[in-house]
Amino acid sequence: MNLFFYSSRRAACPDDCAYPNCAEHCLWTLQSQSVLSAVQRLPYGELFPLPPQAQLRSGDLIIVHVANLQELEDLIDHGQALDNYRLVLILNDQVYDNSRRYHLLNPRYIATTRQAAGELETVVSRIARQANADQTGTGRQRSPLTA
Amino acid sequence: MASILIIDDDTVLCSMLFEQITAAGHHAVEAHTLVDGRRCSAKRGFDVILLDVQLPDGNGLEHIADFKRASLEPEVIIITGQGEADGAERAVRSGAWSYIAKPHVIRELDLHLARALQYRRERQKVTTIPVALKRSRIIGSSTAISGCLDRVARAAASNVSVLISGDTGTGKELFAKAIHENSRRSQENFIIVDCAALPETLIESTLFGHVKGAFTNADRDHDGLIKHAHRGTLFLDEVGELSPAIQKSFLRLLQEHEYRPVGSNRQLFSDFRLVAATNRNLDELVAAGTFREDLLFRLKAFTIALPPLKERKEDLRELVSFFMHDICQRYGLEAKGISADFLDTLAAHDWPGNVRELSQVMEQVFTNPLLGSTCFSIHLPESFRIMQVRSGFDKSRPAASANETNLPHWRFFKDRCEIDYLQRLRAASTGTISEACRLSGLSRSRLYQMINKHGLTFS
Repeated sequence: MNLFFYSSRRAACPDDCAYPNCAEHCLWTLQSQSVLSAVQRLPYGELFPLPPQAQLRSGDLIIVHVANLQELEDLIDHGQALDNYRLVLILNDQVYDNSRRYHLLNPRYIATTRQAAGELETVVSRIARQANADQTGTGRQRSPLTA
Repeated sequence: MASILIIDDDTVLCSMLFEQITAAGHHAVEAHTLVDGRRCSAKRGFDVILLDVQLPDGNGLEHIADFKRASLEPEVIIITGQGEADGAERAVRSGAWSYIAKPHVIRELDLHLARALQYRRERQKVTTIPVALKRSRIIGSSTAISGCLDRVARAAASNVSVLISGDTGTGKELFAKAIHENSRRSQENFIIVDCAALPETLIESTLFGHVKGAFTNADRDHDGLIKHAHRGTLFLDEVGELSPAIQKSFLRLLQEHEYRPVGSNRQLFSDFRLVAATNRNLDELVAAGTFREDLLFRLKAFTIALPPLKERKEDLRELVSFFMHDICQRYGLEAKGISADFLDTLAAHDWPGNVRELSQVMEQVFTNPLLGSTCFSIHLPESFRIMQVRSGFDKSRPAASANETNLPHWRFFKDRCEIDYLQRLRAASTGTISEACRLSGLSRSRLYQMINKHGLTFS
């Protein structure tokens, strides 16, 4: 299982932006955690159709940053294609409080932008460990993301 | 408390039954003729009717169907002094719940009554089974998978807790979702709790939510997943991974459907339907003392055991077509053909990772740069092709070294390449022989020779 980060829009801020709802800030914070340093950014904009050279494979984990309700609805439009991946959502507080439609994406975990990155790191490590245990049982390749 | 009508012309027995039933906490009404019984039955609904056979105004067995059509559709228990096999059979054929001979009625009534009432409670939970089952992404029509879908339909029509078991990759989450989507809760949320992903430090606030000030960084109220699951379905994935402390919390939640957000004094209620899944043997975990027996009892009111892929290989063709279509959509590609040898090679595999492994293998096929318009076994990962090559050898021959087995037989490899080339050539030339000769540099006779050799058509 490989680990990816996706946000539909790139913010015009530096990597060390301090605004908690900013996708750049979110990615920068995640990558500062040891386990999440391997996270790869997926291209901005529409996620599907994937480019032929895309590294994304079924069963990979995508951490999706959702800044507002419009981004959430755009993702829900791709819900069926996203069923092939493990999703962890990072939601803006307003999105978390004002909609429950993010459950349509069947996320394995839902965090908010205020949540400590260390907690997310723990959750992702455990998901990776479980995925690796499944794959070890079937003799397939282990993920580099082993906590 | 149940409502029971006793119809018997033996007034002494009637009184004894009346005492026994009311002492058990139920409501009872006596009638001594069929006419009285019908009048009582029409006046109010009963859960159970105790019906004598020989009554002054007729034979009770001939009126079972009438009584069962009354409001509440009661269960009918026949009581008679003429205990004989034919009468019992006739009673059951007429739709009676059971048949008690009068000499044993006082002793046996409690048991018959308890079973009939339990059946009614279950029947009320299971109302109607959906006619057309929504089975999004559950692919296959094998006997094994059809049996599982039947159980999905039965589970969806009820409100009981469901435990789905099956090896990794068999589709437990899809089946859980199918139960939700076919149930009366389908318009509400389907909430996934990945029990293996949540550490103990996070599980309570994730499930129950928290109030402002409950802990450091809790600077606002936060709803938990249990609240989100109100009127919907709560899916506990990998439930066998729950720690003992969390199992205790869950047991309380499942019993009362009440919970308290972290830092709050208020008890809240959530009306959720529970579906759990595991790839572990929970009975063994109970025996080992790592899983609570009382929690397991709550979880497995209704069970669905999913078959491994190796036990439903007749579904391979459908699954391959589905994954191919799905991958083509995700990558914006044109659909491909599937050759017989491709399916044969897949069928020779044991699929320890089940359907998930198959979907990943299909993705690998699509990343093969040699893939043309048709999937051949040569496009599969090397491990599959090696297996096929090995299976063609005499098992009694000494095993070759690892380096040797990594290479397919030259003729096999050459044939696969030729077939792939011809398929691509056909597509590029739109099936025109002269254009194919121009593109490939092959003579017309050589091209025909190769087409015939591989049994292909070119128009």
